[in-house]
Amino acid sequence: MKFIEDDIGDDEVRVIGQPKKRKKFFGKSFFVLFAAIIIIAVALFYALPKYVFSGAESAVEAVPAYYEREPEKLDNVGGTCVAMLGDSVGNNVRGFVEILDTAVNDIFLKLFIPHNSVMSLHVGAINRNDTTILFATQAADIRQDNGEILGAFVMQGKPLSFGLSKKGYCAVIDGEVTIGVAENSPLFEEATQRDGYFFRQYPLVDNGVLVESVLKGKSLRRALCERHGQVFMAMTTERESMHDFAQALVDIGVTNAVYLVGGTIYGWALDREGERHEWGTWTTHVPQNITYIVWRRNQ
Amino acid sequence: MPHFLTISTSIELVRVAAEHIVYVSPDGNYSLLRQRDGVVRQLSCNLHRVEELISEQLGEDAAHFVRLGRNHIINMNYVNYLNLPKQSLTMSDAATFSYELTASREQLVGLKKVLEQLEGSG
Repeated sequence: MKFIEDDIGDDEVRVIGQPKKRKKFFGKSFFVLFAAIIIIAVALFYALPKYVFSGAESAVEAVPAYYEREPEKLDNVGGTCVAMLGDSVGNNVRGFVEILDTAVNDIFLKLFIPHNSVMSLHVGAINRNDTTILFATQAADIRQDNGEILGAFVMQGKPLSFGLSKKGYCAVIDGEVTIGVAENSPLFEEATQRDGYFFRQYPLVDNGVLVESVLKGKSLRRALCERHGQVFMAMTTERESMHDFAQALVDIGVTNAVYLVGGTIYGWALDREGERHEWGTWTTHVPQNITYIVWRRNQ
Repeated sequence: MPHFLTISTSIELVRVAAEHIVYVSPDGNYSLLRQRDGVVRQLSCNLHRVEELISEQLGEDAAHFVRLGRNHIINMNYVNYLNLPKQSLTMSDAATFSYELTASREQLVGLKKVLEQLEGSG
């Protein structure tokens, strides 16, 4: 799923607001509409009393419970766009990663929100002294049998691995990050044609709905998230189940999310002051095909 | 009463009259809106969402805006010069500002056709 489907072709030209033609008030469609209203009114006249007095379940569902209240939506959407998490940062500010601490239903999360930076992927051991890197953490998993990248993977237009192992995916094409769930995503092909990036992981949230995972037990969990267009990494500070982690992401309004390798896997982020925040355990003994999500400052 | 494009979040609000929007470009998952006064505003929506908002909020003024593939949304009132071989498009009011954009040949052919039809019908 692409968070907002953009149906325009590369070379297409589309006038956005076409003037609408005035329709005749008493046209053919008016009489069709009038007949439909009469039929619906007659049907309601006979059906409604039976429905109202039968004590239908749906009629009482909307009443709030005294003890088990439904949680309020964290995100009060009042305007035309959903409020972004974190600070609003001007283009002239040097790129950095904003780190927010939050808790939802007793799940403690750290959110890593990149500003003025662009995401890409990296294959192989990463240079932790590379000062251009604002954020790095492991992306796709590695196959236990042969050490290859698990699932389809595209590195700067070059396909390095094929196959569907996990239904979640992340694509980066022309700097735009798309997170979704699909067995066959056209974005794999597009990434190969447009020097893009693509990897697969377990899906956690699809269109605002929790996706149950096959991974059981508790661990430090990480996910690449998209919340109404804003992309960030979320990490638990305690060991959590996949279900509880995914539910917490849904509760903070995440639209789409894929899992990232968790546990003791090493990664880091540079905050506004240039201070380094690390997680996991650094080791030089990493598989040859280890892959990372990397955010670098905008040029 | 002019139509305004209004994009609001919890901490800020961008409100620009249709006639002051020159073009909008993609910026990763966000967009950059170029105003007539030269100011560039970052919007927390991608280009597709901006297109939807223009359609919803700008009434008949929305018909002045054209989406050029995945690259730009432009205000046709400020198309000043386009050159197919050079794949360049100049957005200007021929007085106070001038911005050069690049677009594919196919996009410029399509835009040229739209403008010619517009002038022909007008």
